[in-house]
Amino acid sequence: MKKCATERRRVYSLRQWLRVLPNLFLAILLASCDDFPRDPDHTLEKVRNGELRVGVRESEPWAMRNNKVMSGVEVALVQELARRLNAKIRWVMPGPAPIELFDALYRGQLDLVIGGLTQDNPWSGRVTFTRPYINSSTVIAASKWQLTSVAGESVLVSRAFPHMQTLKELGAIPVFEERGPADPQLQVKPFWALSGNESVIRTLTEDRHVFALPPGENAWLVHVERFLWSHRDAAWQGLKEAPL
Amino acid sequence: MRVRPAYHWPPEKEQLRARAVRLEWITLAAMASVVAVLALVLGNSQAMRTAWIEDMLGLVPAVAYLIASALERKGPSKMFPFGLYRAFSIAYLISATAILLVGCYILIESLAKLVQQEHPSVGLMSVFGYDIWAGWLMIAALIYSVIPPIVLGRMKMPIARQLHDKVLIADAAMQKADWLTGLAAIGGIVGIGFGLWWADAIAALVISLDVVADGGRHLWRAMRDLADQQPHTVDRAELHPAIGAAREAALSIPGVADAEVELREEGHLLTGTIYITPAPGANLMTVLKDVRGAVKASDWRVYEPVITPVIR
Repeated sequence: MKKCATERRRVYSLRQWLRVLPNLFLAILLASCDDFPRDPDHTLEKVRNGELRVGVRESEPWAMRNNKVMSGVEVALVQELARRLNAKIRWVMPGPAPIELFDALYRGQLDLVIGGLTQDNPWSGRVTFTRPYINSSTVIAASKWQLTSVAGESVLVSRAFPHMQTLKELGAIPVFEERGPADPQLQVKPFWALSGNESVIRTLTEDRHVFALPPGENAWLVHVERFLWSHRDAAWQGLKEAPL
Repeated sequence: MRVRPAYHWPPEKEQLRARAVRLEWITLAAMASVVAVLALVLGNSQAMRTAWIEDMLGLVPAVAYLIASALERKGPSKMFPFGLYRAFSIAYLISATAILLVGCYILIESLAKLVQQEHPSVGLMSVFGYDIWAGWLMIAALIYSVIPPIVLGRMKMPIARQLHDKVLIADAAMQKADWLTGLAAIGGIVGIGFGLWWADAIAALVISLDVVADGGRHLWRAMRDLADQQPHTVDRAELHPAIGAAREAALSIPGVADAEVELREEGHLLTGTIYITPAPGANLMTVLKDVRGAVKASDWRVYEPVITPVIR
């Protein structure tokens, strides 16, 4: 009985191989096709040699607008991306609320949304986020001395800091920029903005920076992800040189 | 209360049982590895998620079988004087219910995704420093996920038939049909690649319908088993020949004028009552003893039959 079973097993595995082979062939054929994956709404095709509609959420130093002139780390990236695709950029600023940008992206009225977006953004389920191209964090930095705990200490922070709760849970006392001392001991800063003599006391959040794209446009997504990945060093460089 | 003596398996069946248990342990390990591999590449595809959940469900019958096997081996005790042979039928019921419930859940989830017209996003994934479209990795993982169930299903099928093991045969049948799940999920992802966002949701729908159908079918069978339906062959095509064989065996004893058989299944085994109408002048005790021996010998699955004279 045992011998029969072994023989039967060998025949089955041969048959299984024969079944898998045509699928493998198809897979290799598809992989050699440049046109895979595709966009359901042909976004990449429309952008190439056409128009790139970019929604911008203003955020220093990622995307800023001064008298109709766009600047910023992510703005520079988008400009390079458009140049490679021979596309004309149309910058779209949000209305009263930044949420409108994501809504427009979801509906396919925009091709891209930028502005210091991070992976923990609540819209991450409805629209597509690229892989993070810059991994950073927001930290409490000290300029003068090392501390083990920030409980009871004053920490200079901007009023718009979204994770105020985390700061309070650590026992720190937030001091807002306008009322703060000129030379603060402790300050909430992004990691890439640390100067040479500053050290990290505590990491508050992980910031994984992404671009937002319309959902399901996979050819466009792959194209943008490839571009961002190859330009991430340039992006870091831009961050370090950014005036704060 | 009287405690029934334990059932002794014939030696060749004992070997098969050990083999079945071994295969179920291998199933556990193999399906756990499949679940882990799929988890690594899941992403946004609903079809992949459905296939992943279905493979996780594959663990349930295996665990149920192993627990039932261990319990059955214990044999009758003071607390369970009839033995725990029913444990298999209970395991069958629990597995089928779990599969049906989870199947309904993923069915609703897949329908929702289709109705909401969600376009699945599948971007790049980094593998050993190379950027690859995540869809390829998903397809590779799905091909891997299909191989262990099909191989194991095919190995378990003949054992299940010889052991008359309904739980094992249901498990083997579900695993063998796993190629459909893999194919559907791969089809969904290839569809996404071609820009057909709905291919993913449809594939997920197909897979979840298959799971619901499996769960429902096995639940129905499990309920019939526990309700002591007439014993059938292991593929449920016809009445089990042991019923006829038991009656023939009883009638073959001189001193038996007529015999009626009442048998039910207890897991792998058949128990029940044989009603004898003794011939006039027969020695009742001898007749009862002989009938018992003959009926027990008629089929290996017969266990502790009760022989009783019919009182008219």
